[in-house]
Amino acid sequence: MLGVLSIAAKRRSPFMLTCCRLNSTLRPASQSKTSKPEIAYDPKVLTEHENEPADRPMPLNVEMNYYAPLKHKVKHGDLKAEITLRCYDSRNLDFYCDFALRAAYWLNIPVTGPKPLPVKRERWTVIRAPFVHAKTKENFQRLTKSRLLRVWDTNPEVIDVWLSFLKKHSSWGVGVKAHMYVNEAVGFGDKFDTVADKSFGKGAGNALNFANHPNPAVAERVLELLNDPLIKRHLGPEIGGEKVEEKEQ
Amino acid sequence: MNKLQPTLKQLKRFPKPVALPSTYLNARVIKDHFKRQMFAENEVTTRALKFIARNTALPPRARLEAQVQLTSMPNYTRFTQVRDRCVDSGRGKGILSDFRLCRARKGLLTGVTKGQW
Amino acid sequence: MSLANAVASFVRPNKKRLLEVKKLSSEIFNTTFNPSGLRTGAKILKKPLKGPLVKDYYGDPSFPSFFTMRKLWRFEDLELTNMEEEHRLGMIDQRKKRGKGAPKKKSEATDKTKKKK
Repeated sequence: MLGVLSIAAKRRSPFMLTCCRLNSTLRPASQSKTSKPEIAYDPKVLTEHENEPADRPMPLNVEMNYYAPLKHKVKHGDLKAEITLRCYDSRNLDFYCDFALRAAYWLNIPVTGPKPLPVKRERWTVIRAPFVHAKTKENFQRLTKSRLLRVWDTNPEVIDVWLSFLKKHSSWGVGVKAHMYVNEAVGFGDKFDTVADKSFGKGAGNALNFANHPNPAVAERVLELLNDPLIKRHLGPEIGGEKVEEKEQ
Repeated sequence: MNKLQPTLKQLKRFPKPVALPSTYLNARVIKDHFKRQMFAENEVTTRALKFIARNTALPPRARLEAQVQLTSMPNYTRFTQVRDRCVDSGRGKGILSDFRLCRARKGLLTGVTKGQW
Repeated sequence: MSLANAVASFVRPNKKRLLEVKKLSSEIFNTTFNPSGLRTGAKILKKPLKGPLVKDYYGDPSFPSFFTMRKLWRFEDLELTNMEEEHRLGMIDQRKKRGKGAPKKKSEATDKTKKKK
């Protein structure tokens, strides 16, 4: 059954599918008479039983919701993004994962998952009441379930489109965290010639090497304070002195 | 939209104006809130001074100067002065720091259930 | 591969050469080179700032309270009700009915009796 399914889905292009949907909403044929060539309305259906309104067969993209979401094969194995979904309620979470996978399929994004990640358990023990029953305790817990979706071989712009679509149709209580992996060209690191290098010389004694630190605001304040006359007068020429004047130029 | 900007309020007992939150307020909460604002405001300076004071590659006199400046900063700029209080009632003891509350009942916290294991 | 190179590849690198390699790599990758383990206070510099987190413990002051919302309210035929305030007033009413309300302010007559004492 699944093999048949995948073949049927492959034959159908997204364009054909939109045509199905248009016709299924009973749009009059006269309206669609523009310059575009008319496409014969002949939707393919998997199920054998008849649908209730006989003149409106169920479109394939709707029918696909009865089956597990389809996935594209990973071709090159180039990991582009990791999406973590977290929720206290696993039903909500699984539903949203399903939705994300379907959306990814129609955007031609190869996604693997959902891989269940370890459940985060938080527990608290509280006294049952403030006075008489203070010696008995009560336990509470919160379980955070999470799933991992991994995105392969895709342009980051397409991933952005997908993520914004997910954000637009976000579900109650489901948190989404996306890690994007981007490749940079050679020479990208030249940007990071730091403030300290400029003012105190390359690798100034390594004691003042602020390279790659996460708090640029603090580093700048340090330089400000070192240039402050109250502290600067105590600095020897090898640390402050001439090199500080270079910065002022 | 301009009206939604938080207005800085100068309170008599504090040296600087602060914007008050719209949660439960009492004297102790306001005091703690003020300290938190001041700590956040001065954190970069405190960090920088502490870095200079602890850096053994710098001359001792410079380090001492930084340490003196650090100690001469007012008490309300230190994190040790900050105390977690209950957001809903202002209580200072027995706070569940995950929820910022001193008592969590009625099942109002999402995802929190009775413990079973 | 020449004989000299082959021999060199088997010779154990001495400490000095290893240090040189480390120094070179630190210059290339712009990392710290601190062979003597000097205390430079780098950990103070590296630690992430906690001010932004500490500041909004009691909630963001720019979040509008009920009273600011009422000031901005433009629909005259629809009224806003402060549920908490309503509840408080309701409780006061109930207590009054049971005779447990706050005592009345002292009238003049009681003042006179006080003076007589």
